[in-house]
Order: sequence, then C-alpha cells, then structure tokens
Amino acid sequence: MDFQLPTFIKTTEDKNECNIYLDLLEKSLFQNNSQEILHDKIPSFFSDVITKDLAQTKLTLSDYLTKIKTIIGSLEPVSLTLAIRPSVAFQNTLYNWITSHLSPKAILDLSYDPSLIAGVIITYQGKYHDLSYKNTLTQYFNSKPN
Amino acid sequence: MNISILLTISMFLISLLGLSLSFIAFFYLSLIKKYDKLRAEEERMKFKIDKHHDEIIDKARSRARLIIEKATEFDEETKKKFANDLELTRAKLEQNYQEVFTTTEKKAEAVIDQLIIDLEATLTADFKNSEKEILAKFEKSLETYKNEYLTNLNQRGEKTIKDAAFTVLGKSLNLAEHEEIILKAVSEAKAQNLI
Repeated sequence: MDFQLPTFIKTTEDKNECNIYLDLLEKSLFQNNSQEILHDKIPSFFSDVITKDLAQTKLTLSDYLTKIKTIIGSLEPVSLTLAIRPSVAFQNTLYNWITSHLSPKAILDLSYDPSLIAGVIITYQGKYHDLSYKNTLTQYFNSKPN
Repeated sequence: MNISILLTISMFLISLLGLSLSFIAFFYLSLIKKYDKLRAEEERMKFKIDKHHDEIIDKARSRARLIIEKATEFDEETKKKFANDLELTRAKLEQNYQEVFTTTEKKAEAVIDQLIIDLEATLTADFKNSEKEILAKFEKSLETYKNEYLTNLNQRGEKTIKDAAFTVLGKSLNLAEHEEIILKAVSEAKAQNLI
C-alpha cells in the first residue's frame, strides 16, 4: 500500500508539522467535522496529499490515520549538525543521500553550529561521529607537531 | 699624655679608617662587577626572547604549510586561496604579536629595573646580608621572571596561531565547498562503516 504523505516528510520539522495536522484530523473524527478541518484548517498542500492518499488506498479516514501515524512514527531521524545553514536544494541532496545510503526511512534532523568551521557532526542509531574541521584542527593542535 | 703617643694613636686610627674605606671600596667594586654581569645577562635574555619570538612566527609558518598540505579535500585553487588568506592573517598576526611583544618587553624591562632597584635598596638597607646571598636572590628572581615570561609568550603564540588557523579556514570556504566537504565526510564515514 503506497502512501504519498511520508514521501514529503524529509526533516523532523516536516514530521512535527505533519503530526499537528494529523492530530487535528484525529480529533475531528469525534466532532464529525473532518471535511471542514481537512479543507479549512489544514494547509492545501497537506490536505491535497491526504485526499489523494485516501482516494488511492480506499481506506476510511480513521484507518488511514492509524496507518499513516505508524509509518511516520517509524521514520528514523539522522541528526546532522552543520557549520552552514543549508539551502533547500542542499537539504534535498542530503535527504537523497541518507535515504539511499542509510535507510529509506531516514529523515533529516538538522542543526546549525558555525563553530564547527566546516564538515558535520552526525548522530544516527546511537552512534556519534564528529567529522567537523573544528575537531580535526583541535586534534591537530593538541598533537603539537613541530 | 705624651704628644708622640697621641700622634701614634691618631696615625693608627687614620690607618684603620683608610683600611676600612679600602675594604668598602673593594666590596663596592666587586658589587659593580656583579651588577655589570647581571646587565649583560639581561641583554642576553632580551636577545633570547627576540629569538624565541622569531621561532614562534616560524612555527606559525610551518604549521600553516602543514595545514595546507593536510587539507586534501580542497582543489589546487582553493588551496592557493587558503594559502593567501593564511599569509595575510599571518602577517596581521605578526604585526599584532609584535605589538603584544613590545608591550610585554616594556613590562619585562620595568620588572628588571624594579629588581635592580630592589637590589640597590637591599644593599643600602641590609648591609649585613652577604653579597653572595643578595646576588643569588636577585638572580633567582630574574630567572623565575624570565621563565614565566617565556612560558607566557609561548602560550600566547600557540593560542594566536590556533585562533588564526580556525578563522582563516572558516573564511576561506564558500558555500559550495562547505556542501562538498559535508557530502565527502558522510560518504567517507559510510565507506568506513562508521554509520
């Protein structure tokens, strides 16, 4: 069963935003105003994708929400700390890299620290690797070469 | 009392006074000699500090070269740009360093002068202390100050070189180079099974 919505979630920010809308829809199930919420309260981009997903999968909104929340919950954040603020294009490049090399379920958890000079600190599945120039230079100076 | 006896005693006292004055003069001459020796030591120390400063700057140059050589991630053009930026920063660093050095040198001269004033005061006030003891104390103070000064100079040099390298590296990279470095880093980490 193919859902379109998860393919638009590339970062933890996207994930959090999406969860807010899905929670709104979940509440609407008890208030019998799902259509109103879907079209008036949720940004058109999200509501269009959800509508398409519902039409394609032929699931009820309740079942769809249960399944999509499970899928979104299983996404694996890859924490990357960068010395630059990445452009949208570079975020896409990084997203493509992590989904093809680490896991198709991977999403970006980006943060910014200019003191790194260059490079990246990566945390994934409990592993931490400081691949920044700050770290390399600090090690270099600590080794006190002549 | 017989005049000849009085004359003899007077002559004896004058001789004794002359002898004492000769002894004091000899003592002062000896002190002046030591004082000159210490001045020469001070000059030698200044020369050593100058030499040390040059060594620190040379070390900055060789470290800069090493950083460039180690930066295999960059292409030749980036390396050249980095080298130019580093050279500019190094020149500025040397200028700043010279200023710091001049200030510190003045401070050093003031301390040495103070040590000499203290020595003179000690000689005047406490004549009972032996010449050797006073000079040893002075030499020890001078040596302690010299070591502290050189260590401080060295630490300042290390820190300035480190700061300069960090600043220059950050400024030398454009956005595309940053992106390339990030992708290269994650790719290499993956290749080494780190992630």
